Amino acid sequence: MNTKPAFRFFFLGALLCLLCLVLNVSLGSVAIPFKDTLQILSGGETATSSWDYIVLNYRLPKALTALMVGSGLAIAGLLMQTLFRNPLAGPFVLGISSGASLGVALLVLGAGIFGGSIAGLAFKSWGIVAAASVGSFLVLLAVMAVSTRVKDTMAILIIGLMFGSLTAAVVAVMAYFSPAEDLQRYVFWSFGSLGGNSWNSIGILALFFGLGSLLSVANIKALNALLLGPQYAQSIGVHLKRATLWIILATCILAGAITAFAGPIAFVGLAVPHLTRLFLNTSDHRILLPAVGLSGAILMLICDSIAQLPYSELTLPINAVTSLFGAPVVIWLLVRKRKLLF
Amino acid sequence: MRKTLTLLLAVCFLLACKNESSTEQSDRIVKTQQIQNSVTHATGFRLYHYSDYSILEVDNPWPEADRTFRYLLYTQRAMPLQDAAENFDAVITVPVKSLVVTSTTHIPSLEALNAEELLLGFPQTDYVSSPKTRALIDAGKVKELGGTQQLNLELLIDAAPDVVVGFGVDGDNKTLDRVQEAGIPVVYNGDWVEQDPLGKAEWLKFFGALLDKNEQATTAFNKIAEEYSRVKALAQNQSDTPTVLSGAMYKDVWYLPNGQSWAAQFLRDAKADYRYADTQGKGSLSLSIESVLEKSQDAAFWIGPGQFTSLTQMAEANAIYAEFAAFKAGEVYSFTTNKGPTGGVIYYELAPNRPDLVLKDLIRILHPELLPEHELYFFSKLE
Amino acid sequence: MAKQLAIEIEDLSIGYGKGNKAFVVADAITLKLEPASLYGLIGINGSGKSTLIKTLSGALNPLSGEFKLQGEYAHRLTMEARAKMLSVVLTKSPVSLNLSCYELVALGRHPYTNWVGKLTALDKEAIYDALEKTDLTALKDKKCYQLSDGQLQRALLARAIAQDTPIIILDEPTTHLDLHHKFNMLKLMHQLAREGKTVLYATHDLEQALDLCDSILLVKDKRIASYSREKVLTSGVLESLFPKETVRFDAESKRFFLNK
Repeated sequence: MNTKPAFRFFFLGALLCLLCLVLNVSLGSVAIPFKDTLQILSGGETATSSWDYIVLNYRLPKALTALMVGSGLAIAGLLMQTLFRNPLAGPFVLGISSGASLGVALLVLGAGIFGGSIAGLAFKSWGIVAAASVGSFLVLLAVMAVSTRVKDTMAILIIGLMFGSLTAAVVAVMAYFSPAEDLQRYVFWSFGSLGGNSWNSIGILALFFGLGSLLSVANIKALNALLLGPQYAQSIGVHLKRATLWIILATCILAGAITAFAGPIAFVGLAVPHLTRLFLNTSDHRILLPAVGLSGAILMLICDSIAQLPYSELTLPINAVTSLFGAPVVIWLLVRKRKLLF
Repeated sequence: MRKTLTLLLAVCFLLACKNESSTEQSDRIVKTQQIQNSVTHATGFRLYHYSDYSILEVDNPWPEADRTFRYLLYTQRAMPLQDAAENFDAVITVPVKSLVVTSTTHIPSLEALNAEELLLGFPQTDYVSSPKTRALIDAGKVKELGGTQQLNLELLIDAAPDVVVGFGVDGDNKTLDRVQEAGIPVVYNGDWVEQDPLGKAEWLKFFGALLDKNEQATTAFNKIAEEYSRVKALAQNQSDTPTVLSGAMYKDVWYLPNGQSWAAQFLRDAKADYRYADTQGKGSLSLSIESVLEKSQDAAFWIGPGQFTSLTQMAEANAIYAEFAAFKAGEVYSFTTNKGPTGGVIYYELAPNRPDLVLKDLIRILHPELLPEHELYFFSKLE
Repeated sequence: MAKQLAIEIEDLSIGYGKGNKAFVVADAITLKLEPASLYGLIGINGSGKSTLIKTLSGALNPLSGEFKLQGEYAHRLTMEARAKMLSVVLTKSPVSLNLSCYELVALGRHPYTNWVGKLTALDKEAIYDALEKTDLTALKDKKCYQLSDGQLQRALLARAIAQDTPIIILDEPTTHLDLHHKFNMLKLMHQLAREGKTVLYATHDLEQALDLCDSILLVKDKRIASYSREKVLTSGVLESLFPKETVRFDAESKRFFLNK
């Protein structure tokens, strides 16, 4: 087993990630010279105090959000693909993001329909995170429950898609009866957004991200064992139910918290594991897990930089950018390699 | 035993006396300074003018806010009140030298107070129709602050206005919270929640307070209020009450104003018979086509049929529209067809500020003989 | 010579479901499997071979009764302890073919490695040993999707060997293989039994089983019975295994013939 290329990858990857971070912080609607950006980042001040604020309190939190979102979703995607032994799995396809959306919809739209003082300001960030996490957990539990009876992983995927449709339908009904303002708010939430979070929120996101990542790392051995399929995994000593539950928990914490803070972000969870596998030519989670996390972070930082449409006052919704640029890349790679390595 | 009891009672008495005197004290201050709320019609905000400062209180700027925002407006820095920052949501030096507003309804208020030049930026400037501000936008003096619905935080902070007049729709105002953290005060404007026609227009005084042009604002408002009352009396003093239908269908549901809404109050003041005048509620009524047909098929006038721009368009959208008497008689009036040079609907921008013009328009439509020289400002008859 | 039994089954009942709705595949199973022996598990399709294997490996719970592995009650063992006693080789499984041959075999060391799966010198030795035995040393760095069917099956056996368990159970390991690969596998299994392991394999290749196995476990009519290699020929059970109109068994040549 070669570890040299892996070390090279991680070293270069970390460097690239740092570069993308600095790039992301330097680009935005307001043209701040690169020199000044570096100065602010290294603790200094510039002549324009609004620039200091923009870089430190808007762009930097946004960049960190992008990093955690990209990394977390990619890891969640990897977990799902290995657990279900299906290359089409991802937090989106299995309905987890839909579950999170449903949780948030119930909170945002439900408060309007059924009334209630759920809308306390301080409660807001915790409330949405909790609602999203609970929503995603419930959907994933449902998918898992079904998967214990249905052995065919393709069938499980379809069931996941059906849960996704179901939650979308419930949201649609709620939206139909909602007042326009609530509806608009929900729709814009669904476009995804990485910016505008306070340092406080970043802290909360970091907590969930750290927890989810830690759980994922703790299950590397089980994930590798699952590459053999559930029966073999059991025969080499993996406690299937326990491992499954922990992996699901890790996925929910990651996907749920991320969807809560950034809205449902498509594509990253599905594609980044494949891109990383193709690039590193390995399925070993000891290398793949951190590699996927790193790749996801880099991808997200680049996509966000593009979404900012630097130097113009317009911005694109992040969801559109990830899919617009990511999908063709995956198609090109698969056509070139002509084989899905999984 | 008795001794301690008497002592206890005495202490209580003394304490009670002390409490009373402090309330008396504040009452005294109020009476001597004769501070009254200078807002007469609007229920969403209150203004108290003291010698060196004013206090602006905004109640529930969005429906579920359940709170009052209090703003301290300094005219001089003579005597800063202690703990001002803790007791108020923002402390602002007035007059402000520059500002950012976030709704087109704010623009006419600025223009009425000759303050449009202080505007630094506006989100989605295309919606602005008022000619003076439009000219400033075209000259690049008013920055575009957001192509999308969300305010572009970077551009806003870079513009560094003295104050941002924002509005909330629900409790989630992430961007405005960040703006406040950046040190730029945010003042919430709740004019869109106000339902009384004159109350909505009175929000002009809100801007008057920020621009330290209180007398101008009061004068301008009084003029509007007088004109409104005059025209209203004209309508009320005659006996004709034509029946009116409103709204249109959107995806199988007919949306129309509820009886307590701003739009419906105009109809009442214009002495129209709006069949849904008794309804209440938040936002529009959503009804089925059948119930609307049953109740209002014979209505003489149709005011505000949604986004349609011609009768043919309406008939094509839904054949059932042609069954209404008002349609057959061609008495359909829309307020969405009058647009500014960049596509902004003038009604949405100016009508809240000029209820007198709205009422005159309606009276001109419903009782043409009362105001023969008035030309329709907001409404157009659909052909 | 009180050799400890590898597997001791006492009045076991196996099947699916629970309580009243349980579907009994086989019951009253009483078997004793010894070390250094090769056992052939035969029976017609659907008779319960896979069910027995799943039950022994722990993938399925028995309906009633108990069995011991290496003298310990199976249901009391932790997953890890059981993994050190019993390894499996299955026919079809969603194995990731993106693993290299080496990585696949290395996963057999799972019960012995630390929390992240790091391989010690001992582990590496066991892996190389397993690759040697299955003649895969030259192919160790190839990806599994590059291996032929026979090579992949050998790799899966190598993985089980690397797991270093006294018991190896195989579920139809030769079913999809060409003849020479089939014989290769049988040779390996025989060799492993000679080296001291208890090798139990389910198969449809009856003639080779009769030739090689120390005992035959026959699954028929919800009963599993054990026959020594001599007894199985004389008892006449093989004659009545298949419908007489179609199949005839000749005990002398130990072969099945089409009844023309």
